[in-house]
Amino acid sequence: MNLKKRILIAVCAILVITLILSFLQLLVVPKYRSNPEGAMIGEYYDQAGGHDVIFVGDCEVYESIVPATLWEEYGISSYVRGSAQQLVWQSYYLLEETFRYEKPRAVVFNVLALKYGTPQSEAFNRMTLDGMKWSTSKWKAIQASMTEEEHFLDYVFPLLRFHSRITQLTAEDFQYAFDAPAVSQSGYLMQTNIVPMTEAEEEGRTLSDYTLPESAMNYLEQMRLLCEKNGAELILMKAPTNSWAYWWYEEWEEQICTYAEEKNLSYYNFIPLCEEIGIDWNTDTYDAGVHLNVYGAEKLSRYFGALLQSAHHIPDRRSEAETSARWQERMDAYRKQKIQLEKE
Amino acid sequence: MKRSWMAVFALGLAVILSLSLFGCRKTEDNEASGGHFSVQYKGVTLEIGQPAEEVLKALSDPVSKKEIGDCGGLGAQVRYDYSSLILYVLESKDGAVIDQITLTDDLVATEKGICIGDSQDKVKEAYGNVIQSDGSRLVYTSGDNQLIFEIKDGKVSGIDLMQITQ
Repeated sequence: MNLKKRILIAVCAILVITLILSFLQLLVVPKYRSNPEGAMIGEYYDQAGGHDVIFVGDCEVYESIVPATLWEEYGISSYVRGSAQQLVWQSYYLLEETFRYEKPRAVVFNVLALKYGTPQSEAFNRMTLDGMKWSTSKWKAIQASMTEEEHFLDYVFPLLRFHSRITQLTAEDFQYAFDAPAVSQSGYLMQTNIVPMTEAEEEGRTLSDYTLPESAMNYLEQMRLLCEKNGAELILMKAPTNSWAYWWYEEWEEQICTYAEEKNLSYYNFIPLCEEIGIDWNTDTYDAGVHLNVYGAEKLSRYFGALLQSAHHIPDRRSEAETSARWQERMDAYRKQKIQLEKE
Repeated sequence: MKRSWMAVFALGLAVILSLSLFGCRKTEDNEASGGHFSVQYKGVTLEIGQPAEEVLKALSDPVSKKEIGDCGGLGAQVRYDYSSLILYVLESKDGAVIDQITLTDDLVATEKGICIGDSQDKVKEAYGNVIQSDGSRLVYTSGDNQLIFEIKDGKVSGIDLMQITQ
């Protein structure tokens, strides 16, 4: 056999093996259908571009801010790049990546995540990082996020991490191996259930230290500088929810107010504004006050949208044909999902 | 030709196998540090990081129970209110562990006999030189665990056992 044939055979064999490994990887990686929080970050790329406001942060953004309402009421084009327990350095790198796709006028960051100063959990890391497209931002986000037990190579080749799932594959793994329908509406994860908050929360757990971690505050400062460099205004928010497990302490509030004042940033803490916003804890939460449901999130979005337009001059784009057409599709999808979930 | 095919295929399989073996690490959660701080309640010794199931059975029904699931559906934080203390339990797929203990009255003491209402001096006598103090609290550390005494007017107004905040 001549050398050419041998090389050809070797190349073919390598290709076949690569294909098998790629297919196996597609099969075994989590599909995030029963816990859709892990699927949202990757959905951004199909809709990237043309947003005036980008929201980053943890569940308090993707369960509180409804881009569809911001559009419908104010013509504000926005997207939520939120994920479960999104740590501040993950928000930073997601934002760095987002600026490569678009130049929003404002970036809104939810401050609860500042309580974490170190990597927390691989499962939550995966929900944010696996969905990111490969870039230097993803690379740095992984480096900053890994717990001691994690390995960088597992993120490059998820098959290494999830190969043991090969014996636990379900129909879902085959169904969504190549393509999966979006779980969010412009980054908002819709919840229509109603589970009232029966008693008002009064306090959180005692903490050993009430100082927000220095590393977290450093990333916040980097985020501010990144926004400045890209011509975007950084706005800070705290969602109106305040349950004992995710308590917003007075000491944290003081630190954020001081920081915002020093850096001349707008900061909106919606906790004391619930009545003004119109939130009814009997109807506007799906889990007894921990998160808002769609009815509460729409109310908050209406309230915040007015502020974004009046105080931050975010434009009304409803008269722009192209943007309007794009949002019409998103509005249809939003309404359809709301009707569907309300029926279930 | 057949040999070459076999060699390349064997090499490929070897790569797959080695990648699989490389990925075959056992992932383990952090084990409880088994710190020395504890409280006795209804004849049960309570410590941070202790598996919660047996403890909860032994303590019988709490006055109230509140549960909050985490955002990714991976676990939950559960607060059990008893007559003299609050137990915070972290639940995950690997089981439930005691994450924090907050004493709420003077009927329960730490393992060195300190309870709410005792003097600051008594705390120092029992636990030695304070590790960290800002005037309103005395903080002691053992392994991953902390014992925190809230101080008001020279007396203990609150006691918490918890893991060191990450």
